[in-house]
Amino acid sequence: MLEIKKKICQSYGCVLVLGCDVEKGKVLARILIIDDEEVARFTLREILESRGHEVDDASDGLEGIAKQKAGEFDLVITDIIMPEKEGVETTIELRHEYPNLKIIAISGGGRTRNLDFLKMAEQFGADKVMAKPFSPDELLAAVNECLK
Amino acid sequence: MSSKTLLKGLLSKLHLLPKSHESKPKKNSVDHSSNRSKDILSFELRLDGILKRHESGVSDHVYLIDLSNLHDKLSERWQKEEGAVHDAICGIIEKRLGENDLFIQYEDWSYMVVFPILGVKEGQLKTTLISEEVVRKLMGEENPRELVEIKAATIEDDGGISFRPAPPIETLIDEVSRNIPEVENAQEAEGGGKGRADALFDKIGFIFRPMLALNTKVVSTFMMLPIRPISGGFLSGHDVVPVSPEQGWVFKLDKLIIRKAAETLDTLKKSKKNSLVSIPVHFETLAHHNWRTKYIELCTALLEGVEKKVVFEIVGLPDGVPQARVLELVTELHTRSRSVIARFDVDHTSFPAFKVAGLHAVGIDIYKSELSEDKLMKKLSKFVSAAKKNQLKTYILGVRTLSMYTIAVSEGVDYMAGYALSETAKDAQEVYAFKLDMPYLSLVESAMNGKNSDT
Repeated sequence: MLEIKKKICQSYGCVLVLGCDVEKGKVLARILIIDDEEVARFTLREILESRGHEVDDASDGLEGIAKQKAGEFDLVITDIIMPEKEGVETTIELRHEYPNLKIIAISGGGRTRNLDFLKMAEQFGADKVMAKPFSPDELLAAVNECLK
Repeated sequence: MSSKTLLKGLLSKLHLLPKSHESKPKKNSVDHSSNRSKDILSFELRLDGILKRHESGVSDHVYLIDLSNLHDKLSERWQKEEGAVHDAICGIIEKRLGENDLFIQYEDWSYMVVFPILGVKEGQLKTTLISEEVVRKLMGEENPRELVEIKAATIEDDGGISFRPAPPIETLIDEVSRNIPEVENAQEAEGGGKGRADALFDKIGFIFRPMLALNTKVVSTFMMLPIRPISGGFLSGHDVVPVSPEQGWVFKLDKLIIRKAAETLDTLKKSKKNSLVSIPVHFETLAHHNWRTKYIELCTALLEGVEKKVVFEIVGLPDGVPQARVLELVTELHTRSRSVIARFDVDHTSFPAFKVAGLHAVGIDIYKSELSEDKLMKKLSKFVSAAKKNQLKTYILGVRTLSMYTIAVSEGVDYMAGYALSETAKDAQEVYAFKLDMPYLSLVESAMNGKNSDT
């Protein structure tokens, strides 16, 4: 299983986080991951759960917003390029409905202009934006900063 | 039994019937099993759409083209080249169907067609003519009727569904031809016949889709789109006229489009606006020698002096069109325009011939696509990749959602149009700059307005 996880993380462009330094049973924050790529959702979940966060995921903005409505999260990490409802639109709607929600927008799909869309996500309310690939440490640092 | 029940019953039989080509893929055949599932799903979706639009019901409009006799005659050849035979049959049937019509392979050697709009006799006649064309093309038969049987769907006393032989074609021809208006002269034949054609063309209007050039972030081209209202919506593009090569309606529409384009360009010139106008022209017009000649003469006469403001968009290009033919057509159009672009199916990924032919861009129109955005995303990626390999620019029309907007932009599409970006216009406007965040601004505004009204 560890070898499989390593391969997945390598293909996603990050280094596998090993071990966990969080007290057993203690949940730091409730985080929702919205990404249409299953590998991305799996990898981000692994990284965040290893730090004691409670994580749920959704495959597009429609599902993500529905989950946020059903059980409010502390932080949403949303991809930009997604079918059905993409990340900038999702950010706008979440920011309007949940002013205190922390939002991190990430992007790396497609061939071009990902930075343009990340800037837009920031313009429209994302607290942080990150271009893929990024390391687990970079992600965790962004999450920690948002949750301060 | 309602028509809905009839057709649902037909569909259930469609799923259950064993298909010999699904069990063992034969040489020269494509993988029919997965294609078959997609065909059935697509057929069901379109059938549902038709049932919703045609409340009067579609019973008595379902026919079966039974090619068992043809199969027996072809026998070994059919076995050997089953995939190619099936593809040829489907190609012939598809070519003769209208926008509202459907077909699907029913059993191994039969095809079901649905004509929801045609009268009972007209539907049977059309089915018979199509089947004869199939036999003629496959066999070169002089008397194709012996090799094909046409059946009509009927509801049995016990509520079951069966197919019964349709009346002989000679009887149908006599009855139907009494009601078809005579064509009085060649000019009317060219124009598609008086009366019915005039009434139809009187209802055709035009809108203009602003097209964004992503490299420069400027809307500088307005794409002409003919539209015709129907109950519950409207038809657009060349779908505003029925598909019927003998009546020349597509050609007549293309002439109407050129006349409207000329008026538009004249207005732009007088008001000193710099916009370009994209003019769709159907391959059928260009492929028919007389029609092409007349079309080009009209272009020459009406577009003199504004050629550099014209983009021709070739639509309806068939698969497998020879490169030499495309080169000939593009060259002829290019002498009267700024550039020539061509529209394809989203699955098309072979472009070397089109680059050589001189096309500026290749594109797709997803407005009426029934594919999920997830599937469109993947297909668009392949389409753009294939075009870029051949140094062709790409365009996408009919972008209706912000998700498709971001997908198209991030895939590196060069030009884009659709109401996710901006509303269509009644006339071509002046060139204007476009910022990538513009499609989101109305969303932000409504969110802010909603917030203000809450407080």
